[in-house]
Amino acid sequence: MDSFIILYIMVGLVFLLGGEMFVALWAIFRLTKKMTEMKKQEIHLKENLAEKENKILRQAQDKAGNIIEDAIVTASKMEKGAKINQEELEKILREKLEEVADRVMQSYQTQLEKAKEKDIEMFNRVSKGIEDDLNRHTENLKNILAKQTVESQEIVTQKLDSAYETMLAEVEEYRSERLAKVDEQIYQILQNVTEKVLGKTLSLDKHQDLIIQALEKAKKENIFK
Amino acid sequence: MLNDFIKTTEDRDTILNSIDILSDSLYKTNFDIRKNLTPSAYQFIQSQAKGRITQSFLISLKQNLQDLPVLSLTLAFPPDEKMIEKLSGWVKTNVTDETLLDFEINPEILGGALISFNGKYLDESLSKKMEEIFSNQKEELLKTLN
Repeated sequence: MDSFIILYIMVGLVFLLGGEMFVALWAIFRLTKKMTEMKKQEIHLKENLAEKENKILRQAQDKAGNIIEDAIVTASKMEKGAKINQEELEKILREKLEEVADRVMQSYQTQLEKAKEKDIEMFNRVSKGIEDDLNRHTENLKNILAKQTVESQEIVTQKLDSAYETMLAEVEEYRSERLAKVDEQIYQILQNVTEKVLGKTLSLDKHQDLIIQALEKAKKENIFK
Repeated sequence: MLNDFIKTTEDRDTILNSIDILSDSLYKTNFDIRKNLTPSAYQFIQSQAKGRITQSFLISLKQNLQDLPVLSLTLAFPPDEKMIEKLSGWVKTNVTDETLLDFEINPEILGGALISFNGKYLDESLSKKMEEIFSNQKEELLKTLN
């Protein structure tokens, strides 16, 4: 019994599996078929795409050629126009430049006037400052000069005193020199004077005679009475 | 006699000093008069004493010597003995026998003498005579300096 049951189950399973396999095969078939179609579509799309690309490229090349031609024509026209308007352009430019220059000059003049006014104002302030400084410096200078004058007077006085002392010393030295010279000559002078007094130089006996003569004169003048 | 021993005040001072010594030692037994006095002083005192030397004699002698007249002479140089002798002789002859000479030395007078006696004075120096020459012949002498 059991074997039948198992057999039945087995048979049932075989059928079940066979059905599933069928389903699977069918699915595979469907899938393969779909893939084949998709590849065909892909190839077709690629072909279309390439064709479109080529077309677009051609159209682009055509447009580019047209644009270049137009550009050449336009450029040629512009060149001609440019030549015609060059003088006018220069004139305009010159006028513009002159206008700009005038404006700049005017602005410059204005700025210059303002600057001048500022300078004058600043100069006035500076002048006042300089005047104040000058007065202050003059006052300081006067004080310094007064001080230096006093000091100079003291120095001059000292130098004068010193010079006076030096002069006195020199005079004294000169006097000493002269006296020394006189001393050197005095013996000769005394000799001369002695000779004038006595007619000749003095000996010891002559000295003694002079003393006796003096005593004799004293006696005559009554000194001893 | 006096003038034989004492010619100058210096001689007199020597004698007076001897008198003082003798007066102080008069009664000393061991005092040797010859050893303590100069020979001239001894001789002078002996010549004046004419006998025994007493204290009163010495006082009197001292007084007499101090009262002797003095003739002052200022000379340009110190006189030697020979000159002193000659000057003293002149004084003995022309002034008095007892007058003594008193010498002062002043080289600045150059020669001659300044004489002073009993308050009287006489300048007979060479320097004074020169001054007179200088003042009288000044211009001529100054030429000698230049």
